[in-house]
Amino acid sequence: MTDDERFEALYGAHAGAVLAYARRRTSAANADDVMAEVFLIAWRRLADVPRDERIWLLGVARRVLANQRRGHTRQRALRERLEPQLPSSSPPADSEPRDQRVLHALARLREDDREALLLLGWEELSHTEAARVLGIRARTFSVRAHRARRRFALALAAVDCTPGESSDASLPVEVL
Amino acid sequence: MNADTIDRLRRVNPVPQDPPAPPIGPLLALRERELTDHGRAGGRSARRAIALPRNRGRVLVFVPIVLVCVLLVFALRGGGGGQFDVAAAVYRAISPGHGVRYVVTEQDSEADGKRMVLRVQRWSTSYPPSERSVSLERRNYGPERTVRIEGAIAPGSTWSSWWSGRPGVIEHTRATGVRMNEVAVIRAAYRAGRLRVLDKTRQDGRAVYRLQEVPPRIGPAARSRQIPNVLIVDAHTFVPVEDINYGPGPHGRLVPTFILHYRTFVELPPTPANLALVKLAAHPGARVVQRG
Repeated sequence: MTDDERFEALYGAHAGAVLAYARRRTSAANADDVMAEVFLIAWRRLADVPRDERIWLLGVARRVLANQRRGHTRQRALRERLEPQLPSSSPPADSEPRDQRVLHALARLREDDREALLLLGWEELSHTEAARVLGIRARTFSVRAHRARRRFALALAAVDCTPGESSDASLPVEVL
Repeated sequence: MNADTIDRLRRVNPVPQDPPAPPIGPLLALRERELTDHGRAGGRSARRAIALPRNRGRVLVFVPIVLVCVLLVFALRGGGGGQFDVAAAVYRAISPGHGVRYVVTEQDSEADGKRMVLRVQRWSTSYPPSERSVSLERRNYGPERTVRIEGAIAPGSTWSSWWSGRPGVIEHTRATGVRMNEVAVIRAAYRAGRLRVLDKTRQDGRAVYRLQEVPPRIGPAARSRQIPNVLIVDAHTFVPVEDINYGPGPHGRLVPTFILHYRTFVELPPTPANLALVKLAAHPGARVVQRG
């Protein structure tokens, strides 16, 4: 298989997953650029792409997004993504009102905690896979995920106790 | 992990299913066009034709990033017109996810009234340079007589330097040690007790720390009468401001003999012209000799 063939196979197999990962964390418009950058990096490092390609690509995508974060662009985009009030980030139509509390609670978490939970819940990775995306040991990730879950529960409780946050009509914009 | 938590998260997943992969054509075309046309006017029109048309501003941001990646691909595949490409050499050894984003320029001068034309330019994947970032430096000594380019793969641990002092020969050395011009290294050295704070003062209108290297307690360096370097760093960012080296002066006294002023830190776009500055262009096709 030539490099071109392998690259095209890599793209065909995982572009959707990378695009979904990016769309879950930034605006749809920026997600396209993130995906393109991820695959250009993959092209440059094609010889180094391991067998678990998807995990490797998600790790690259995470770093690409992290680089963007310096300009606060991504934080704003993620806030928009997590903000149920905004049309661009509206939860699925069949979601219940209580799910919007989940978004608020997520938005209250530190980024490390949030990413740990999202890798499990949105990317549906195992602890081992999520650890590899983050570049940490599986045991370390398990500890982080455990603490993140605990903080998430506290954040949910805080949302319940915060006037207005349980109501769609008065969701705060600055949640991150 | 609590299954209920996961279920709750899944219910609010804004992209429950992976979207279909967009056509690969634009990406391949972009890659190929940049490989062949980069730097020429034709490349601009070709890029415009295949660029994602939704938002011109985003495209303007995207194209330089792509250009950097493709230029690196080009260099790694043997391009470069016979010039030795330091950036490509460094990038062979680094982890994925990096890209040259910033150019930091510095300017040096010598103490005791003798000014030496020494220009340092630094490229880094992050600003300020931090741990795990990649740093490339170009130093011109004198009127282009010799050129030294260093690529720090992981600041404070390993770096490679390419020195072009003889026609037709580029000497390459890999080294380890501490380079006190990286923010992360300075912070780490301070935390490890290898730097002590002399005082906190103001210089050029900003708060700075004056730090001094702490000599080791054992070994030849411990017996040296050399005054340890003094490093002046920004009090808030730890970005180096000045590096003062001492040496023998008049009447046998130790005086500052070389002061490295970090004058300007300028972010420049990763254009081909800027990236070309980290090529050893003086000797096209030069032989690379490994030292050490």
